[in-house]
Amino acid sequence: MEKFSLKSDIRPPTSDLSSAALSLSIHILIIALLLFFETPHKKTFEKYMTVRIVSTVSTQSELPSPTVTFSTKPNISSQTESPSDNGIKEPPSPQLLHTPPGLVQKEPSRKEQIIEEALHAIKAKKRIEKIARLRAEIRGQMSEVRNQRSESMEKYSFKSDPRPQTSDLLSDLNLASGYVKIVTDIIHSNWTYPESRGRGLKGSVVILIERNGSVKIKEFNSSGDRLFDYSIRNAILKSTLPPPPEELEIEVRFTQ
Amino acid sequence: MKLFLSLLIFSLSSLELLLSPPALARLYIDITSPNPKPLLLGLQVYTEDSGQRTATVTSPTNPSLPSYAREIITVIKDDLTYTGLFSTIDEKLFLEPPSNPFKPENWKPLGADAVVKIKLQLSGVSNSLSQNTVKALSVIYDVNGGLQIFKKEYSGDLAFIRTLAHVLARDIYKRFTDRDPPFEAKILYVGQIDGKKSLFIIDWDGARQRRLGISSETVLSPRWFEEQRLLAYTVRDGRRWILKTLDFNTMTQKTVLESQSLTIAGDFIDRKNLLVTYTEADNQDIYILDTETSRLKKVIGGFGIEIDPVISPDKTKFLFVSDRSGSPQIYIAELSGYNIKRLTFQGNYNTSPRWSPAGDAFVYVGSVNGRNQIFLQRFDPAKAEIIGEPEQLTSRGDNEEPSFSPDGRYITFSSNRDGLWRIYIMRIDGSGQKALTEGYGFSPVWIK
Repeated sequence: MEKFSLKSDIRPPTSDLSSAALSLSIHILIIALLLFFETPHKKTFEKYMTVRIVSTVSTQSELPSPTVTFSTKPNISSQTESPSDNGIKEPPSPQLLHTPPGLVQKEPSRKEQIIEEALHAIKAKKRIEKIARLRAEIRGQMSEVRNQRSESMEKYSFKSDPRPQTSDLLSDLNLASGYVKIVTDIIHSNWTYPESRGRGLKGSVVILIERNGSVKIKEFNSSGDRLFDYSIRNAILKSTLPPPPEELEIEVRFTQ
Repeated sequence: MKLFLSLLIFSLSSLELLLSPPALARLYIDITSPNPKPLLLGLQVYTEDSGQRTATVTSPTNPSLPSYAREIITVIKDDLTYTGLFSTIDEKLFLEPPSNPFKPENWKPLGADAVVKIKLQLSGVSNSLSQNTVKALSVIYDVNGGLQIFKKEYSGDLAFIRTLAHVLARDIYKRFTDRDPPFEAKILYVGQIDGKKSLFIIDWDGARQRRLGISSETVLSPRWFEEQRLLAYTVRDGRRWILKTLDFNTMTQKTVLESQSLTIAGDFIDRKNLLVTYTEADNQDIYILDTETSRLKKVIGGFGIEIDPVISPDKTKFLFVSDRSGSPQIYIAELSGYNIKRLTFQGNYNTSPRWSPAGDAFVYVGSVNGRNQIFLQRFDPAKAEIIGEPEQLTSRGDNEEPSFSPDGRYITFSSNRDGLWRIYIMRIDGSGQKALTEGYGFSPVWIK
């Protein structure tokens, strides 16, 4: 880009109008191109996010298409609400072991499908419960945070719901900004620094929040004050974060 | 054509940038105003005395300690907590016995940030106190990182156990702040004994009071020159005033100026030259006194009183008090005596200015409703201008003669808030005010 601007500067201003027009038209073309490319990019991002969330709900190994996952959704709710549902209630692995070989020949795909779906459902249930538990934990931490943010809290009020709905979860997890807000509150609640007299200290860290919520410090920009740096590092290390909708890299800037 | 080509390259490169899938979405969070809480330390001391001195254990996590170890832990705790930067966990809450290896999971439930384990060992002849030496091993662990972050061995005389404890506390403080605390610093002041004034020295925590062999009917304004470890003060001998210096390196006294009129030490400019207040014909002015030749050179004079010169840390300017405006106020001037500028404008009585070690503030005594209080005024050394309004730090009784600690975080002063004039200390925000002496004390100065 610098190269370009340099060259255009070198050109005498009295050069013809046509080149200016050409430049203008090419610029318009580029902008149009940019706009064109940007839209699909956004779409893929959304899809990408959804797929990832779905995968957390079902299994780790498989990456099912969105439609597949949504089809398993009713299974999950039925599993949680009506335990008497056929096939699903029974433990899957013994069933596999005890099935006579003849029967397996008859309808292997159907049964396997049911079992697999049951497995998915159980795993998904466990995961949802885990997420709900984590969120409830966060909620517990959040209540300790001094400043009440009733608005955002209401958004996340489902966390206390003992049986969260997957669709709610999905729409909820999509709120990346909500997640960032939670992260901000958790880190802030864990940030203590003893000196009340403001010296305008500033420091920042780049953290990587992995899919499971574990945090890695990737970069540390010192404030020049050891105690302040220590307080920043402790604020990050003390913070237990919920799993993010996707792997996130966040630069957290601390100002006294 | 060239233009087109470069445009093409530019557009291609920008396209490439946009098309490459973002590996990660980078977000920014801004967090301000931390919770003002001190660092929480688990401070553990245990002894490993060879043979005869086995400590009786009352509980596994809280073994009873010999008195010297108790004293060490108390000094360290007091030093660290007085800074306001640290607090310590009540030892009754310890989940981990002091001599056990550090495990972060034993400290996280207590909310500890760090754990300090100090192992003490006595050696030498056990009968004679002075011959006993104490060995200490100090290890600091970071709870959140689960790591050992400091380890150091010490040894000291049992008779100077407090000094050893201050050194141990200093290193803990330094490990977290990278700053030098005043734990080993002393405070020199004018005290009283048998109806006479005398110079005394105490530790920064008020302990170990000792007397310098100087006493007189009156001892005035001790002034300390750290670089040369030189003290200047004025004593009264009959009708004469004597300005003396005491060299702490050789512990030798020297009479610099003897006069019928009052001469008060202001501040050392260097080893030879001393800013003083000298009285001539009942009028006080500021002079530079050559301590070798006893010659006086007037710097600031006039009809009004000009007293109490204190040199700036960069030794280019000095603060002083003058009543040229009708009331005593604080002024700044260059060493030449030129470029005089008034710095205080509130109230009609402002005296006793003292610089902060960094030169970014000064403290002084101002009168509020007829009582003298200590104020802090921020200062911009580059512009030689005050910053903002003065901040009142004291409110009870009369408070005089403030003095900054070497690290600039504490102020000692004298106060009669509880009747007798005593030496007090506070943090620079006015918090943590406490008396350091039980008996009379005035004019405290810090000695490193």
